[in-house]
Amino acid sequence: MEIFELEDKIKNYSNMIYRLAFSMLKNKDDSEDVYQEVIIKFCKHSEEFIDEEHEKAWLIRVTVNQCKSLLRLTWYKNRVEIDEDIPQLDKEKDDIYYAVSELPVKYRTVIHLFYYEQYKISEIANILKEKESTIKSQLMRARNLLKNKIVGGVAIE
Amino acid sequence: MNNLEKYRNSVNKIEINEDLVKSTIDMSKNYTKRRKFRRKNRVKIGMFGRAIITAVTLFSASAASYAGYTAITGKDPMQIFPKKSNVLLEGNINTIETQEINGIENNGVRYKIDIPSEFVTSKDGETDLFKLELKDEHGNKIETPEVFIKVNIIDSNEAEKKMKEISNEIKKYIKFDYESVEYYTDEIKIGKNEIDAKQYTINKGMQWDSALSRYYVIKINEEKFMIIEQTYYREAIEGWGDVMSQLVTESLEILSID
Repeated sequence: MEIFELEDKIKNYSNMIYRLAFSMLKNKDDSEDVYQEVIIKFCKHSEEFIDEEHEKAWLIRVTVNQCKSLLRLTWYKNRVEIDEDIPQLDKEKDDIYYAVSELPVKYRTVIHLFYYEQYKISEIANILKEKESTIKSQLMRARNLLKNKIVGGVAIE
Repeated sequence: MNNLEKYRNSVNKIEINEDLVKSTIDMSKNYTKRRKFRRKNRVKIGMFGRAIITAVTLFSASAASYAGYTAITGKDPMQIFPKKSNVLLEGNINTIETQEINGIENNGVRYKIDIPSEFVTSKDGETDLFKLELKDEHGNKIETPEVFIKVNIIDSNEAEKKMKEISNEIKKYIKFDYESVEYYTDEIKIGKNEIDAKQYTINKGMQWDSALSRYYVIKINEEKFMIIEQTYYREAIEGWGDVMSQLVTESLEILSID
């Protein structure tokens, strides 16, 4: 891959990687670390991608794996979570995002991929290497949990 | 604004620090430079590595010999060594069981190649065939779509014909214009000897079990070419596909040419 092509790709994918990492980790510094790790792996990746969709799906899978690896670390599990405000967001105006961010990480991930990245259930199953039925039930549970959290009981539809 | 729009708007507000993106781009450029430097050095390490491999070959009691080669060629037999190799899968480095096939001979060329431990080595006419054979705990064969590596050593005039065949094969499967073939064609350096090679990938369908074939056309010298075909299936792109590609492109070594 040429340097200029690589530069363009990094620019194009930066927010996508960062937003997904942020939705999983809920922390700016960790998401930035994951973003850099993913980009390094992208630079090291020697195999060609079939098309842009394949490339994007690969980056999403690597981001999810990288976040999962971090979440599995003992020190990470044991650290005290500080309920930080997200600088760009307003707790009242962005209440849906905050409600999603309170869900368990597996639900946050499928919500992000389904509603934000607009992947189909079958595509998410393929990206996350899970069964379609698993993704379907995770999405359903996530919606039900959201209904209880959002004022008025209306979830994302 | 409905909840879905609200959610998407909120996510859109979360933006990465532009300075971080710039520094990451700079870092990736430096990384590319360092990588080139390392590749140059690898030739020297390769020679030292070969000495170690020779020593291991001489002293390893666990090596299995492939007597057929000795009988036919009168030369050292091909040897198989179990080993472990690191491969990058879905962004993570994994250590997997592999086998080093050392000294396999085909049409006057002796070479060394690493393959996954689940592969079985055999000869199919002029072709060296390394094929996936999975078995369950009772020894029964597990059926999967075909996964294999085929190696042929051919003369330069045959190579031209073979490359035309591959181009025609690509044209057959690519539904858009011929210029797109370039996307599937890459000039690379392959193996320990860093030999010039062309790589072609043919994508034969969009089903989970549709075959994908990757060809490496390697110019050994003015007279001889090595054609490596790796075939796997769509579902296995980032499994067997990645494993085979990395093992072959890293480990292939031409040991001697008659």
